Amino acid sequence: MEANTKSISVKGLRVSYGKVTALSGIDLELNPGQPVALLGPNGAGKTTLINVLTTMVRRFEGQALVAGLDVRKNSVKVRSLIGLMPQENNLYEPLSGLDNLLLQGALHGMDKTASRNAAADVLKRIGLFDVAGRPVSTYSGGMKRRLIYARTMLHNPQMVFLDEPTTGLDVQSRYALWEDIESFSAQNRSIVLTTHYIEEAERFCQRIIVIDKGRVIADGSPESLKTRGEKTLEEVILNLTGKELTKL
Amino acid sequence: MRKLPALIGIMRNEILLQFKTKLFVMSLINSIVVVILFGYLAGLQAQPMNHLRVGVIEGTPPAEILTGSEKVKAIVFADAQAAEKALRNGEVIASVLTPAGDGGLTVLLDDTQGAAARAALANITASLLEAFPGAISAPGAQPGGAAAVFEIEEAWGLNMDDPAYLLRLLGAGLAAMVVLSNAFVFSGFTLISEKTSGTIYFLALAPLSRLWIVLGKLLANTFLIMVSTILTVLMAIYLFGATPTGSLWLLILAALLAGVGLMGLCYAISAYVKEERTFRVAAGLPLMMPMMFLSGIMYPVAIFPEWLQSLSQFFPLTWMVEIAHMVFFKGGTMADVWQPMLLLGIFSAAMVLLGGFTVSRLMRIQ
Repeated sequence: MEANTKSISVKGLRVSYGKVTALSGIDLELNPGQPVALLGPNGAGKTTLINVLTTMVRRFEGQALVAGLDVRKNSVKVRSLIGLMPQENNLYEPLSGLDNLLLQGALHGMDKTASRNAAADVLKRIGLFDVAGRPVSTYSGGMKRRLIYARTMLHNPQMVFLDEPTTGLDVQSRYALWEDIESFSAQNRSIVLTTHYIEEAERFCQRIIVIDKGRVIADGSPESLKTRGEKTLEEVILNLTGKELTKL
Repeated sequence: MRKLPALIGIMRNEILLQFKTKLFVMSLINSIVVVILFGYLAGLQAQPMNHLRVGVIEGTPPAEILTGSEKVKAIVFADAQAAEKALRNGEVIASVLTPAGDGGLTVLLDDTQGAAARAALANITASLLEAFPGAISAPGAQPGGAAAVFEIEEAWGLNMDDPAYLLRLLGAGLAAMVVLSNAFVFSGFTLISEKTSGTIYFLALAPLSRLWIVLGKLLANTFLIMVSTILTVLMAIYLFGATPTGSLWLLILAALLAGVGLMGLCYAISAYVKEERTFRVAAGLPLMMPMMFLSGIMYPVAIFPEWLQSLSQFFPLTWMVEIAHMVFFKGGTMADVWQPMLLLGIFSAAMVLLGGFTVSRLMRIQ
């Protein structure tokens, strides 16, 4: 990726699932190395945006570029540059943690030795090295979450999409994960994060994008968004999106 | 992007999964049990069935003849009523009655026992014909059947009394059955499980064409199906003497093509259903069951009425069974089986494309 290339560039992005409009005209530009948080209520369109950028949704209007590459025309190349940590557990439960990581390495064209080395490295970082040989089905919920994170990072992607990365993690695990995410970000890699832990977004991301009903309704640094005397980012979100429960 | 490590990785993962979920082992045990069970039973059926219990009436000439015969096990009853009752109770498989007056004989058969009842009739007939020539009337007796047997014997040099005959029939049928059931289990059920667990969407993020992912899965499962099939056929050959007269390679090639094609078809179906139980019905009823019954595995296609015979010609498994019969009975070479083999090849290629594209579409959320 060239230095002046935007890590993400989205223009007029519209996505509909049948009669339901998930994204209704999003424009967005993200710079490399800038951790960005996508915030908003459930069903706001955050995950749909991530699905477009990770090439999982192909039917949309508008333009979406990742590292300067059109996600429809260069989907394979885009997938080689990115890592996605989904909300759901999609690990191979009967297999060991290591086997899950080795598959990720193989899918990204790494040979067995390189995969093993990368797996050992990331497993040590997130404290799963000693249990790597155990079937994933024996892991706790938090361990599975960490393993998904390890899998996302294994091939050293240029950009990662972290969809609710710390949900279900204990304090120690969250701390370890954020330490790793920060170290990743320090290498001028891009991070797009969605989370319902607003304080995490405020603490780790320089830019906050609030999405509601398929539109970007606020975009800026955590401090710049507190325009109406709010003390916390959570108050900002509530003021912007209202206190009504989402009807999905 | 280097595709080979990715392809090997997907294959390794798929094989590991089939082992760790014990699906492969269970399906292999299933095949082995079927071979042993069918092999043993086919062996029994091929033996002269001189242990079949036949009722006779005390003091009658048939009783005297059959009691001394080695072809049946005669059970003597006081009168015709007792012999009939014994037949209804399942104590005997046939009862030889001697109605008063006309001097002829009637043999009652327990039709629920099918082939065994016919075998009993044949044994009774053989023993009694000399004593009562032309005097037997037996419901269900098919004298034409014997003629058909002799015709087959003349054409292919087969001896249907030879245990190897039934065992070869078994070997050919089992190969097709293993391919069918394993293709069903390894592809359809596994894909639905991947949809449920979300792992298919993880694979979708791999930086390679999604057709490669399907190909990797297909190759891995083909390998497993071939291991099962070859093992099953070798067991039929070496444990039960179902020796083929033609080249086994033809059968292996046919199994490979049929397996790949059926898996492609199952992938395509399973991409459209959400749950295992739906797949069981969607693929099982309209596809698997008709193939099991109408492809010549269980019943010879020749016994079907014409319309059903025509229908069975559209089943890929019929082509495989045709090749299997050629290999086991008729010393078939490629020159003999090229037509069904070509059809299997076309079916296989078409289904790989169908399955590949369907699963590729499934991997996209929209």
